Formats: sequence, C-alpha cells, structure tokens
Amino acid sequence: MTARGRVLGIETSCDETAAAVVERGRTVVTSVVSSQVDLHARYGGVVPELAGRAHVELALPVVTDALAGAGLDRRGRSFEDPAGPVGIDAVAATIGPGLIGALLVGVSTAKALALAWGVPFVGVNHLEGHLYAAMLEAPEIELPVVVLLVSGGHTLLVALDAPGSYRVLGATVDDAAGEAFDKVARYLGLGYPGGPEIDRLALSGDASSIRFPRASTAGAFDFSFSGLKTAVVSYVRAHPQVTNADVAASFQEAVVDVLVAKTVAAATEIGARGACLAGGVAANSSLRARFAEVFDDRGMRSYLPSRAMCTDNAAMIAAAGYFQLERSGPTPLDAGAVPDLQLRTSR
Amino acid sequence: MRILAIETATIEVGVAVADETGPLASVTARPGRRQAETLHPAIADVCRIAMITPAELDAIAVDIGPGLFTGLRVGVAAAKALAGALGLPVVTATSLEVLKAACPSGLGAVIPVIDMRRGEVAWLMPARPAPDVRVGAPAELATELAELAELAGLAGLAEGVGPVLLVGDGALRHRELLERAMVPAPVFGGTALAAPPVASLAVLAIAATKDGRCCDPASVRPFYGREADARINWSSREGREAVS
Amino acid sequence: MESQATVSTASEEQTRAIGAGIAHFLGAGDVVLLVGSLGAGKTTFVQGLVAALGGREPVTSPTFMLAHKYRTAPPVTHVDLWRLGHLQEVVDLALEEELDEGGVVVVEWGEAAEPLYGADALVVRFDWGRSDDERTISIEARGACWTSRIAGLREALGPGTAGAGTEGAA
Repeated sequence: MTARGRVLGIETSCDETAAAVVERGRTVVTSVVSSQVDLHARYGGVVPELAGRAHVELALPVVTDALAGAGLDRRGRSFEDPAGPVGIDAVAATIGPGLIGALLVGVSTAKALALAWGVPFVGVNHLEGHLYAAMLEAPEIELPVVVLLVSGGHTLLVALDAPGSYRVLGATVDDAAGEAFDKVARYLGLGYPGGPEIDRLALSGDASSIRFPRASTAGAFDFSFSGLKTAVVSYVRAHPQVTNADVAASFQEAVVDVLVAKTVAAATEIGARGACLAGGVAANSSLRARFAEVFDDRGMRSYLPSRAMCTDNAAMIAAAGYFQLERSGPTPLDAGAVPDLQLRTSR
Repeated sequence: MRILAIETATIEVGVAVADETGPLASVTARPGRRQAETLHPAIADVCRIAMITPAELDAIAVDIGPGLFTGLRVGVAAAKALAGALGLPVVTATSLEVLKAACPSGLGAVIPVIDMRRGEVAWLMPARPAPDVRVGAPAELATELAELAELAGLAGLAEGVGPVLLVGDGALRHRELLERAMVPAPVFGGTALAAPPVASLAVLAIAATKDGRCCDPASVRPFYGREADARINWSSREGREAVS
Repeated sequence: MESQATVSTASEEQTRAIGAGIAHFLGAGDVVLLVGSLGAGKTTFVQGLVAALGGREPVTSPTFMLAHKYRTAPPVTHVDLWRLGHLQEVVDLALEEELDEGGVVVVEWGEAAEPLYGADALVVRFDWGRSDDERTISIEARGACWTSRIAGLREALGPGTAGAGTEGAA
C-alpha cells in the first residue's frame, strides 16, 4: 500500500449501489450512492425499485463516478497521467450481511477490479462499516465510544474501543427499529419509507396520549420491537377514532425511550468517552434531539453523523477495509458473500 | 488479439484465454452455488497458465445467459469490472449461442436447451432470419419439436437431413419427454455439452471482435429470460383506512 | 377431498406450535405462502417452523434483507415480500434455485408471490380473532403434492381443527 492508503470501497448489500474512495480510513475523497431515485432517472423507471438486478447495471457506473471524483479514470489512472500507475491501493467490498444476489455483485466487481489492477481485495462486514461513520465526519473523536446502530435491517449496540477492535453489547431479537417505523407508517397509510413520515407527523401529536409497551428483553442491551408493532395495530383496531398524529408520536416516543435508555446504560457500563448514532434511523429528529440532550446532561460527547453517512454508503466500507487490511491483511480471492454474517466481538 | 472468456451462466464456471489460433488455456469447474468463490481464482489461474497478465488482454467475453440468476450476476459483474478497469471492450454471447457453436455443424438442426429450473427451459428455435429464443415449459418445446418434424415431413426433408440434436442441461433433464416429441427421435448431446463450453465462447468472441461486434462494458447486462412487469396487487399490506 | 383446514390460537406459543406441526410435512422444493396483515403472527409461525426443523439461530424479521436462509433439514429460506412492488422483484430473488437444490421456501406477505408459486403451494392465512391475542389460522393445500398431505396436516394442527366452510373451534 502506498503512503496515501487509498481504498476503493463498494457496497451492494441491500438497495443502494455505492462506491467511495477513502484515504487511510479517515479522509473521504469521494462517495457516490445511487439511490433508487437516480436509478429511475437513469433507466426511465422501467427497472425494479429494489436490489437484485439493479446492482449489476449500476456497479460499474457508480465505481466510475467514484473514481472520477478522486481524479481517476475508469482504469484507475490519473486523468493527468493516463499512462501512470493505478491510483488505488486496495479494493474493499461488503461481503455480508445482506441479500446474496445483491452482495455477490459487489464482491465479484471488487475482486475483478483487484485482479485487473494487481492490488489487494478486502471483504468487509457491512455492520463494522457503520461503526466508522461517526469517525469519518469527526476525526477528533476519542475512543472508546458506544455506537447505537439503528437501521431498517439492524439494531445493535456496540462498544468501539479502537479501529478494528469492538465489542457487541446487544441486538434486536426480532424486528429492527427502522422496520417498526416503516411498518407502522404503512399501516397508518403514511406511505414508504415511513420513518420521515412518522417523524413529521409526530410533531403535531401528543407523545403521552398512548402508553405503548417498552419491551423488556433477556439481555440488558438487547431490543425487541415486534410486540410494539403489534400493540400499535391492536390499539388502532380498538380505537378507530384515534388520530394518526397521536399514534405516531406515542409510537416514536416508545422507540426512542428504549433506544436512548439502553445506549446510556451501555455507555455508563463500559466507561465510554462518548456515544455515536449510525444507521438510517439516526436521521430521526426526536432520536437525535434526545440522544444529544441525554449525553450532554452526563457530560459526554454525542456524535450525530449526517444523513448521508448514517445510511448505507461505501465510504464506511472503504474505511473498514483499510483498518482490516492494516490489521489482518487481504482477503483471498476465493472468498464469497456471507448473507447471514454477524457482527461479533473483535479485539 | 487475446481474449479472456467468462462462463458462469449455468452449472459450470469456466474461464479461457484464446487468440486467433484458438484457446491458449482454460479452466472449468462445477462449483454448485460457489460461483463467486471459484471464478476469480480461475481467472488468475488461466492467466498464469497462458503466461499473460490481465494488462495484456485485448477484450473480455462473457456469456450473458439465459441460465441461473446467481451465477449470471457473478460472471457479468466480473466481466464488466475487468473490462472497465483494463480499458477493454466486451463481447457478449447468449448461453444458447455458445452451446450451438460448440456442436458439429452440417449434420442436422441443433437446438440448445437450457434448464431454467422450476419446470421451465429456454431454447433456441432454428428460424429465419435469426434463431428465436423461447422460454417455457418443456411441454411447449415438445410441441414445437413435433411441429418441426411435421414441417420437415411435409417438405420431404425428413430423410437425409438427420435427426435433430438437442444439447444443454435442459435437454438432458427433460430427455424422457423430449425423446417422444418427434419422429425420428432427437439425438441428445452428452454431459460434455450440458453447459456452454467456455472455449467455444472464446472462439466465438475472437470471430466477433474481428467483425467489430464489441461493446462498452457499461452497456452489458444479463439476459435473464424472465420478465414480469406486473405490479403486485397488494390487499393485505395497507392496514388502516386512510384517516384525515 | 377437503383441501382446507382452520384452527384458532390464543397465544404466540400456540401459533409457534402450529408452525412446528406443519414443519414435519415439509420436503425439498416445497413453497409455503403466508398471508395476513401486520402483527397477525406470520413471523411467529416461522419461528416455530424453523425451530422444529433444527434451526438454532433466532428467527428475526427478513423484511429488509428480503430473505434469510436457515441451516435446517431441509434448509429453509425465509422470504418477506413486504417491501416489494413488482412481480419482477420476486422473480429476481431466484427462489427456483433454492427449491431446485432441495430447499423449502416460506414466504411472508405471500400473496405477492401467488402469480408465480400459488398453483402448487401450501397457503397459510392469519386473521385477527376477537381478543388481542387470538388468531385464526387456516391452511389451504394447492396442487396435487399438497392435497395428498392435507389429512396429515389437519391432524398435525390438533383437535379443534375444522374443515373448510365451518367456524374454527374456539
């Protein structure tokens, strides 16, 4: 690896096709995410909205865009010096968790790029990538921190001790927090994705009007949201006159209560210097406000990354790839995708 | 002119390097669902055997299907990335074309049949001006074979032309049904012609590049053979009636 | 022969038990379509089913990943179509490849897959009962390989199972 430590990251685990170039795991040179909106613009709305075949068609254009943002052509050479050396030191891709058909596109693309350029390939755990999101925007961050990762597919509490060294403290035992938001929103007829809709509607509702359950779990730092979802449906069936605003506000209150309370408890237990939000649900305004307030009260730093860094992106994959390459070297080319990859404690 | 050919459309993973004189090196494996694990080491191996580096290639060839989705995506993604990163054009061929090209010519009609799983096959019907890709139940293929035999009989061509040759994993899987579909009974290719041979893809691709039939890697997409444009007609997903 | 059966459950445990009871009738290439509204017990049913086939990992919702595969015997692919809008997206999941390789595919929000798999499948419907915890679960055998199993399935659902057209016993 050159001193610049330039890693091209590729992310295709779920709906987004993304590519980014990051230096030494800390400095984002360029980060491209092809949201489905872009996809429709490019293909005139004739392709499916989600995952699957879209990645095959988008991976190369998205990588090309990311390389261009770093001043490189499609061949990885500088625009100024097309005959010069490849300006990428390693290629990292998400190997899991995710949908197999989606993951394989990113893995196959990344391994082929690494082969073509003669640079190392690194297979990255998507969830580990999320741990570095806050760091990429706040280089001054002091570790250890507790990371609350809340997205459509995951809800995790992790202690980040150093890059590449972390402990999993808890996880959801059924539905992810983001899934609960989306399902309740659609049930209330608010459309999809539902997180932003609940967030907006909750502003005009009374959060104390309905006392939804705060589920207890066997593990102190685990979460459960399936019962809450069912409780919302039961309540609305029994109270047909209740307003969507009151349901949204009360539901959101229940979710935020549990998420923040467990993060605070975890931060206290591990003696964290601060706490970070990560994942798509980190865009929720009520969660952000409460998170900042609660940690402020305790004299701890809270890190609230931008929406672009919270949602799935490839910059975090490139960062994770860099740290992994430093610690444990490249991933062999006979590695495949691991759809059910878990985040496990790593020291 | 040196071409690297990638074949992952069906049950085999194959990689070959060829030039105008024919294939220089090839590797073929049947890795089950481990196409992504097998393909890239095979590319490295084939380059080593052919004693070239990827930078010395002139084009990338890839089988774009129809076949099995998982493998197709692995092969097409790798071909696009290799070509993009090396600044090379891509030559595409369908799995049916490759299978057909692998058969001896002049003996009779060749119909390649690819197994699409769950009771469907894809086949290439000899037709003018160009062969026609069909996807359907094996029974539909059997009907078309019967019609073909009838046409040949009407034209007095049945004798001397030789029986129809059916190749591909779809033909082998539904052999019992297809055998009875026409008179004279079709001849079946062996297991060597169950999957499109990568060497045939490479040779096809050499010819195609000479004719300038190359494209930019960004425009390459798999040919899945299954399209379903219908919107899902949800009745249970939306819960509460809209409340103002 | 009657191709339907209905049973009522009064708790999540009972819904799980129904899933476990049906699990033992599953074999390579089988499709089970689960139909029911939010919170009706589909995932709970799959938890029982996967555990009965030797699954050790917790069964979490596959809504966002679209599919989870469990190392059971036979292997179960737990699919969730809630997020999908087009039939093409169901096709893209390549479930044929799972089925052809000896797997069982269990589909939440299975109505979306009916055009592709509905002719030869076990359809399990979940409806809310009178109380919050009560659910009515009805099964419908579609296609020859399922109708031949309906008698055994009805037995597995236990006492209180009713045939089509009759009220599920409370």
